[in-house]
Amino acid sequence: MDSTFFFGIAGIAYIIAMVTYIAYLVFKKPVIGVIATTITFTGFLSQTIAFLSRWEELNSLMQIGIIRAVPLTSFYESLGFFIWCVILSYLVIEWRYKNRSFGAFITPIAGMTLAFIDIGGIHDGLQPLVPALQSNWLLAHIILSFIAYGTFAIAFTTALMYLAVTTNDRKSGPYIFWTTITGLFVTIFIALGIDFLSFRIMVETPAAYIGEQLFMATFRSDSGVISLISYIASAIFIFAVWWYGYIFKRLIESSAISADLLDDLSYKNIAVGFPTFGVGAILIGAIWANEVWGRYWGWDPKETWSLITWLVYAFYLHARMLRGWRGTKIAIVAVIGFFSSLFTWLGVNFILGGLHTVYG
Amino acid sequence: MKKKHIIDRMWDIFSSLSLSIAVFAIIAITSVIGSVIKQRAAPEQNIEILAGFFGEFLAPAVFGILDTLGFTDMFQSWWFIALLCIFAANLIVCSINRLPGIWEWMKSPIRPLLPEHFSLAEIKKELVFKAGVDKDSESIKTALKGLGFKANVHQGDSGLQVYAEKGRYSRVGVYIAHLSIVLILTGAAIGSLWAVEGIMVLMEGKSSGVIVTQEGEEVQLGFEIKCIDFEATFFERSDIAKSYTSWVTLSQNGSPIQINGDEIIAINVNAPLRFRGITFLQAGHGFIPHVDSLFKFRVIPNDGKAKDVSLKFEESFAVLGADIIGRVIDFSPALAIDSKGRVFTYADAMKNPAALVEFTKNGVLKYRRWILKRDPMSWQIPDGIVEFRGLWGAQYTVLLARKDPGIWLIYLGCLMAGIGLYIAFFVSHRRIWIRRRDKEGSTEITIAASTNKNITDFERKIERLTKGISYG
Repeated sequence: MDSTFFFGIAGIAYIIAMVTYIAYLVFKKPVIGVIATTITFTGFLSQTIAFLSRWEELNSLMQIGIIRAVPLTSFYESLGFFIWCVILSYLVIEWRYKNRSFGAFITPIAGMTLAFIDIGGIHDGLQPLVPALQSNWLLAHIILSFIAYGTFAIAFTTALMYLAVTTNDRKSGPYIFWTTITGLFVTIFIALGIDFLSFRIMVETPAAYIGEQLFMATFRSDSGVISLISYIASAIFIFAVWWYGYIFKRLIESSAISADLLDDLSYKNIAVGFPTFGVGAILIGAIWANEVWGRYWGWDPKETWSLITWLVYAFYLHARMLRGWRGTKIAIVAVIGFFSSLFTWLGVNFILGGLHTVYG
Repeated sequence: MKKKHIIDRMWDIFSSLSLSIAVFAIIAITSVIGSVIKQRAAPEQNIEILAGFFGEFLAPAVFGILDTLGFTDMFQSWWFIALLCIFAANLIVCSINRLPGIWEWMKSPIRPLLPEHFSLAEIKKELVFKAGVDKDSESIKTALKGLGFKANVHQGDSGLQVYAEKGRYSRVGVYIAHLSIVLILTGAAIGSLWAVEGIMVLMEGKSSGVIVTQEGEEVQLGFEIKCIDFEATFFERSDIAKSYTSWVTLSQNGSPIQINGDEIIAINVNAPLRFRGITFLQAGHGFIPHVDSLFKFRVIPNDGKAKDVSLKFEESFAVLGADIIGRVIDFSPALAIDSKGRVFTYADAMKNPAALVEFTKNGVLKYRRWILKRDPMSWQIPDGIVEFRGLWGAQYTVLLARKDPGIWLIYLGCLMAGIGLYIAFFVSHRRIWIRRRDKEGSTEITIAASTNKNITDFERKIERLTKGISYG
């Protein structure tokens, strides 16, 4: 039984938990909620075992000291750890707020990422660390960055939920914003999934990825018909989300989650994520860069984007605390912030390239 | 209306939050463009990128505009530097403006609450007990101590007041975090003005006292570095590098310099050498074979003792037994064997060095063997063991040398930012006042409390406190 076995168990548990949480939201039976939490917790424990045993596997493969052998540098490990952070933050929220309804909205993040790993056929083999990555800074840098990404993901979800709950009018800006964003998010995700299903392998370089794979099975297909169908299908899908958006609103309203709570949760997650990201990703990253590349800041795409993300959240905090921005406006900033973090995390590696070879 | 002086007006502009928010937004948006446009790259490269956004036809024109505006070397452009300066000025002015307020908080410890303020508090609780129930100041103090508060007692006209606070200093956290950014920007400014950076390329066995900057300028170090050896190691059964190490010695005017008692110093990736304020990093390496390079072997005959030999290409070594002579007749930096058993070289770098050695006895060829540095199996020959320890004098190392007088401000700034952010976001200033009033037939306890962050957690704690007072 190696780490991928336990990761598999965790994956199955999270998918079942997602379904159970949704069932709980619909049927409102407390027992279903308890089952959902139990399954999530079991999955979390299993993933923790997977993480620790993979750490040991990498350590015995590399023999460069246990601290440096942390298994968080490949794309597979990075996605897995992101799930771990999201689930951990979710369990903390569930415990602190004694509200299980969030599970139905947050476990899908884990579910979607897992689906991405599975259908994407992301390579799950152990990869030894090149010399540049063999540093004691690696552990703190990656773990803190990912805790931040996890909190930003939750702030994003609660901000979208806030917008869903507070908007009624299909013609109002915020309503259009949240339905389009949600629709687009899911559409892009499905398109990436179809890419991976069709090509089965991850290409090596970012340039090759964009040139040969990205949306090639759908929007950019050689066949004009497929391309056209893709555009029409996504337009219909986004239109459907826009048209039926009020269902989300009812679902959230029926589960005793108030708009104020959502606003507060978004803020709290960002208030944890912002300093964590600042210290872990940017400052520790800079100190490490000085050790390994001989400069602490070089406007490498990853560095530039981590600064952009940090500025967006700095904007969020200043607008909220000193300008009293609340509600819709600030929720939109939280949504933008997450897109920026997502790009910092993955977009930079796949699209812009640069020195930063780790998916973190 | 009296017109404000220009300095006052400038001050107002730089102390405004609108400016900060605008600067955040502008730096973020321009940085997005700066990250998409390849910096200091060939124009064709960027035109190709832009064609993806604007089409082949418009791309050159868009590139022209962006180039004129400085986006192709944006992070060094005057307007981006100016933006950073405005950002710094904004931070400094805001910090100065906030100082009196912070100072006020720091030097004024909690005082008893005025009776009329109890009803205005953020968190309020009322408890009523039957008269005669003993709720003296000690039991309240103990309950407060349970929450980590150190209580004060005040006996006033309106009753007994027990009050306490925690984390008053946390008010300074935001301030430290903001100042740290000023420090970091100052350190960066000093670095960009006075830092010296250059590279040194050293063949194994060669030494140099000069680094060459990016502009091609030569800078004398005042001491010499000699590369004794360069070594790359790989993870077992793979070509993934495990380590790159330069073994160097330092000397000045011919006399050796020791560092921590060592004469030979290893420079590793992630473990640079620091000497006289200069950091030397392992930045690269390469391979140029030439006639003077030495093949190093360790030979153990079946009946004899180990012996190290080094020799040039096609030189002979007579060590196996009495009359067997070895001679290197071919070399590959990266040897591989294809499915048909043929050998070939698969890379230019020294990934899997191998020497083809011909063994003769009395001038008659006995056998030839490819001996690989990374494969002990290949060291076994019928007459003993010949270990290939590498080709020396054929590799060079690239060291990056950097002297940055601003680096200590950067480190200090990072430390301050860490502390400041932690205090600003995770430590709260909590205050609590508990008043006891004895009325006819009852004792009334009123709790008032406030906190500057995480109110839910404090409320939960106060809930616990009231239980402690009720049943304690």
